[in-house]
Amino acid sequence: MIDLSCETISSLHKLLIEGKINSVELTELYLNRIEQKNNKINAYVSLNQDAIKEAREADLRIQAKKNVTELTGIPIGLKDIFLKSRLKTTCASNILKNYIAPYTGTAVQKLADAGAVIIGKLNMDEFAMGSSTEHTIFGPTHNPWNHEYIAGGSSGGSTAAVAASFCAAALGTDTGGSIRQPSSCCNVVGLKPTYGRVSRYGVVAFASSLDQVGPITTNVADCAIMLKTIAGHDPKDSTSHNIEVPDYTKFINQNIKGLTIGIPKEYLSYELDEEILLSVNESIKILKTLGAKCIDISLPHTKYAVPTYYIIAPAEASSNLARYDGIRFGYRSPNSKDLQDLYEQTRSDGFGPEVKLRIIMGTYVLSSGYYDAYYIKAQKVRTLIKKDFQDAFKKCDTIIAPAMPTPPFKLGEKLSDPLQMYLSDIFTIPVNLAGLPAISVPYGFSKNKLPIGIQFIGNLFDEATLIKVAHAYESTTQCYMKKPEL
Amino acid sequence: MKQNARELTQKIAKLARLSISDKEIDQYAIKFKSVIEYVEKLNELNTENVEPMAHTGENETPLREDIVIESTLKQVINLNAPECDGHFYQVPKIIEES
Repeated sequence: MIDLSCETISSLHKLLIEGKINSVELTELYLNRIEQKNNKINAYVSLNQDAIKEAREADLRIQAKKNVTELTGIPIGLKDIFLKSRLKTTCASNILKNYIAPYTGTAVQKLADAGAVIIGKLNMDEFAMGSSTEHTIFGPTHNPWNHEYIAGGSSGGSTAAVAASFCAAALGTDTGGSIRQPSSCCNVVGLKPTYGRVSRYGVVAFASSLDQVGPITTNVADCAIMLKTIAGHDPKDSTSHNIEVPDYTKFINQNIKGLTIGIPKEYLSYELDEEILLSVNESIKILKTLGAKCIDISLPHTKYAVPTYYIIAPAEASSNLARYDGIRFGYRSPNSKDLQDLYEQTRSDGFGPEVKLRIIMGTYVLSSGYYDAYYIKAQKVRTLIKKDFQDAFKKCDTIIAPAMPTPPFKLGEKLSDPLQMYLSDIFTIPVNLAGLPAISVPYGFSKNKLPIGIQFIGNLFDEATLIKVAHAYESTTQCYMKKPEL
Repeated sequence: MKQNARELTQKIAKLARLSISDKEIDQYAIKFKSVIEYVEKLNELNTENVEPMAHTGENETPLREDIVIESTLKQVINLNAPECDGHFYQVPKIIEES
């Protein structure tokens, strides 16, 4: 009997190839586990009724030994922001509550082409706006390690599902930390690739100059498998970059001797939780033991990243979300008296409070008379933030940083104060503003037995170094092998 | 933020085609004001000679041949329409009778 909580993509692949289990049986194991335990953490919001059919097709591929990849027959979950033809894609919003995807997005299609089985859709903050997976019409996702705490957000359903062994891996999106921050909360690995590395075609847009798709996995080796599968140029997303995709699995088990790791002094002088500060210092020791050279660096505009983000992201969101007008798709209010009223009623009933707040902020900073003072100003500061990183990468190969300023907080704790919630992304947001890749890897646990992650930030399109460093680090901590009891 | 936060929030909501009830408006106004005051922290920085950055994309806007390719079918797309008649979306009457 297979214990799903001990498996990874690589170990399951081996079992499938050796015929010790087939994909239909494996998919059923996951589906049974979800049926029995999902109500404890509320990770899944819907299941793919064709999952067994997809598993059967994968089994045929394996039997015929044709087009078999590391993902053939492996069950994978999707944040409910990804379009997969004929499946509901709600973005955890009333406005898309009954929306059925008319086509499949590129990243999901690449997984399907590799033979992966899509098992279902996962909870999230509405339109990916949030850091706790509490702003959702489905009710909050609970941290599998302690159900009174947040799973992080916005991809909290995805990270909780991977931690709880409800899927072998998941896809998330990261606009200001939405893959890395919840990964840190749940003791899983989450990678936000370089802006342009993975196509966003078929992913509901939040803030288009920041959004990026990435994998959430049990360990770094699995992350490399997922990334090499979904990365690459796509003519359907003009921001996707036409640049070679390395085989990231080759960067597993590599020596990091001589690599230079930058320690940004601004990150450590921030009011850090003691346990987080300790996690960074201990991680530096580990890296030194592995032969890396650790040097102090400066990212002087760090404290301006969150305010810059909360101008740019809402501005882009208010523009992207203008499409939800009740005319062509999505919810339409039945109570309107004329067209103007139809727009207002539809949007007011359809969007939740956090989304409405961000639309108001975005509309304000883009409005006549305020555009230069807020939006252009933020774009200028964004240039300075990017330059900070460019200067830093002249001196180091990768940067170490906390993934979050505190361990996971209690559900409800920051719901009434948006600023406090926004500040939980202080160490992830600068990366999105600069378009860089970054990975969150499990470090260990707080005194309260809650997960703490550590973040590595890479230079543009250098995910390979991140995989290398993260894998070497993970091999020392072995922390990913710990699984929550549900 | 010079204007009264409540009035301003109501005005901006209207521009964004959101209708916020009198009961809710104070809550939105408080949060909106606190975030806007927070982002004004950027004014500490002198950005006079700094170029604004719209996105971090490293590539030029790609061009392609102007040829017709198959896309998602209209019938499939229209399955999500709240109300439609053949190829047309139906909306409430927008022209008043004279």
